[in-house]
Amino acid sequence: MSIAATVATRRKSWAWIAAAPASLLTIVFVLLPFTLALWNSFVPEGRLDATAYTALLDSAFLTVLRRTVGFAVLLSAACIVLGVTAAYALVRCAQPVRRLLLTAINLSFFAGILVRSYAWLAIFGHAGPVNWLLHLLGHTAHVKLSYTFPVMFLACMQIELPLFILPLYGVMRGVDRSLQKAAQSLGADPLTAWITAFLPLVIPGIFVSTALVFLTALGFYAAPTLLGPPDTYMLAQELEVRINTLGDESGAGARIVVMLALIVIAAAVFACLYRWARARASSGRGLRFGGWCESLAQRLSPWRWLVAGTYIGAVIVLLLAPMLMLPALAFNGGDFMGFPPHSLSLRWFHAFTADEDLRASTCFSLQVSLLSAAIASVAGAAAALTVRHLQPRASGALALLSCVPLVVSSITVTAGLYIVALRLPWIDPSWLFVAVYSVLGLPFSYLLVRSAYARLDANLPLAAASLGASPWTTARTVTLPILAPSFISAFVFSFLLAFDDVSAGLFLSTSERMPLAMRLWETLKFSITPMPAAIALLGFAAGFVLYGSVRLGQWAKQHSWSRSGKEAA
Amino acid sequence: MNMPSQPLTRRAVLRMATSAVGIAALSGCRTRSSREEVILTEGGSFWGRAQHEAFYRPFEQATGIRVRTVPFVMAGKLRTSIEQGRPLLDVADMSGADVPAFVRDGLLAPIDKRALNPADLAALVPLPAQECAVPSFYASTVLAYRRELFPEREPEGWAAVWDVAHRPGPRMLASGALGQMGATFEIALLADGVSLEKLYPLDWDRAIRSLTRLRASIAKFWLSSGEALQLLNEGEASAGNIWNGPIDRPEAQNMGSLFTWNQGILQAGYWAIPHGAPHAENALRFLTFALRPEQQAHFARLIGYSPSNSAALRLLTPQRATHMPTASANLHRQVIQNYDWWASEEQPGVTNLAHAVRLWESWVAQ
Repeated sequence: MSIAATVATRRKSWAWIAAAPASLLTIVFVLLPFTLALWNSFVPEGRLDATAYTALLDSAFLTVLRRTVGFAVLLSAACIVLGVTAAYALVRCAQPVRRLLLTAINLSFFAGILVRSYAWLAIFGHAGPVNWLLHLLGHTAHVKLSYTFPVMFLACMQIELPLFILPLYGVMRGVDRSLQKAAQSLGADPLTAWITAFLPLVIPGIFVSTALVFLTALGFYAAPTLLGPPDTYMLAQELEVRINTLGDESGAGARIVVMLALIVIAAAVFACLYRWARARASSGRGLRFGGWCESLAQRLSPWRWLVAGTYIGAVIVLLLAPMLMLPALAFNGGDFMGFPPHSLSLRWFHAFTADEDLRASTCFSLQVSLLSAAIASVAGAAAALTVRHLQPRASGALALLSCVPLVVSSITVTAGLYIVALRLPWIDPSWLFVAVYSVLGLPFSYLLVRSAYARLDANLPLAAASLGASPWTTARTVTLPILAPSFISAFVFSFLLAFDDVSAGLFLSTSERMPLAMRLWETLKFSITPMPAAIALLGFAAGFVLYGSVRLGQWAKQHSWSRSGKEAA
Repeated sequence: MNMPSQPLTRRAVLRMATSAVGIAALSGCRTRSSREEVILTEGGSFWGRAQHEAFYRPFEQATGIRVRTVPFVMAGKLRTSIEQGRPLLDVADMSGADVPAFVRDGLLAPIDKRALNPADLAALVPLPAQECAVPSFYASTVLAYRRELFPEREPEGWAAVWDVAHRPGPRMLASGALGQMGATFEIALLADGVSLEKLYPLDWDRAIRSLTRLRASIAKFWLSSGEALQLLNEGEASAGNIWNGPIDRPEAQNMGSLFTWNQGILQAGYWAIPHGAPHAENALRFLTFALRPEQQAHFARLIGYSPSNSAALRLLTPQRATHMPTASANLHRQVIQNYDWWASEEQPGVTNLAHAVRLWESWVAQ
């Protein structure tokens, strides 16, 4: 008892120090720039002036806003339908299927959004596999699919779905399955048991995932611009035009402020819904469903394995489709990206390795991404491990600060920071990149480590402490090793986020300090060659090897060394 | 279940090592040379490479002044930086439409013409030097099409693109968010029967009506020429507008993507020295150097854009010269974009350029 108390008090004094990096990152690199943007939009030339806001009403802003929000709502709805089922499948399915699905989710991040977009264009293009399949099925006329809403929607789903599934999977794993079994033993069929005894408990988790998807969708730029039908015009595009074409700093400031206000309102609504759902779940009342649900459940029951199988299959295909397209695009010997390949060759791999600028950019991107991933994962993990041990009010603030960067989207973070950077020209841009990417990676590492920490059996550290281990020894020998996989995912996630990002490069690059993704974007502006696909394939291969070796390491640990040695030979 | 702590330690050490290397590498790059320098902008990929080979590297060799480059700075960003008193560039690469507005707001320094070579100054045709800016190169927004859409001969003008009844197929146009750069409003009016001579001032209502007429056939509004060329190569669009540089290449022709100079919109880029440029003297030396016919011809050999110094055309092979937007055979088929009009104010405080962007936004997002 007394040992536990000592541990608790010692922890508290450390808690403030551990919470500092995450809080400072967000305050300095997100909140301060936004305050400046707010100031700029109201006081453009030293005096109070709200014309930037009245001008919003005369422009297409409201229409664009309405459509962007509509798109985000639709995307969230689709993610709920597909994501909840997929996350549940992850919890319930057999180990090999779970491995497959988790691998698909992890690999779906391993290529930049730009390349993924071009892969979608190839899949649904004139001569792409989908049209070929339709042709086989007897469709003689070519079906126009590219630059249509459904394809853009699919591409956005591919980006958002992993974001939805991963946190929800963590929540679902924590739900006691015996409740459902109890319901079934009382005569409920499986689906009814699921709806009445399981779903209410995970609804808070569903709200969190939905909020993630909805809020990031508000800031979407690359995928809608590249893939959307001709009438696509999103908020992020409007903001970019203000900064780059019109030089309308106060107009850009006003848009950032409105976007942020919208995000805050949406986040508040989600928070209220979350509290309400959690209160209902813990009061045991659950959510009532009408009789139709039960009859539907009875009718679907015999088909549930088919339904589940189709869902899992569809999700895996959706997540990996652009990746499967990569080799066909990368080994193309032609001058332009396209499908089918003009000829098979290593031309664009050679072109990549021979290009000095690209090599320099690759080095720069690797340095900046590794450094910022280290900062983000350390700060995020420290915040995640601390948040439980603070006063409720402080812990709420820390959680909020750690998650804010996630919802304000990279283009608004960078645009805000850019306005500050203009006033501080002596800062080496490398540090601005590190700042932006550390901030963007922070929420992911925070959420990943926190969900792992929440699943950790609280008795283990106490047991170690009661056996006389110091807090540091407990952390080193018990807590940290168990959480190690989540640290690794946090690091990898933040790294990929930084490595793929274009929006920071759009505002912060100089010729010597240009990230690889930005350099590619510049090259693609003139001519869309297969080179980005070649580079993405190299990155994918590196990621695959890394992922494989981590998995192999885990596997080896679980088996005896002699057996794993035999296997490797 | 419990993992040994050894891998974690190793990983932690590795992580620390990488960060340390990163920091060292980043701060190692922070050396700022005290040598004479000039800060210039660099367009993406092919354009940037041509700038380096034709202007920047030879300038460094000839003068010993180090050229520092930053990625292409869009007009909005440039304006903000000059207004903040910290211009990002010593020599700005600007579209002709931005020059008058920048001059009006006092953002550009006058160029001392006595420092420039008189022969080069006189050879600046068709567009002459202005008080605060000199033309740097010419490009053209041209009519691009798939070979199979016009198999017999090249189209006369934009009306043929709009004629989806006789020549069905998806179309593409430059996004209006590019302002005057994609020349979409000019093209819509020419397609509607406005003559080249009576194009300016642009009739907004008529342009929008014309665009609305084509809207159902438009597959995509593009934002970069790479995107436009891809649309054409893949057959996702059968005709539309594009800049002449990317399409006037054998690679594009091999894909069946062709173009015509007929009713092209000739556009000019300008060099200007921002007010408060940190190395204004070197900037002037750069302009003197870069306007030489040799440098200008070198640039035109590397990329399909015309030299601003017309004397440079004579240094090109006749075959190469025919590919230049300002070659006399091509020039008379085009119209020069009217930048004074684009920069003039539609309403107080709103230039025609800003008006065009807003108009386009409300039209496209209806």
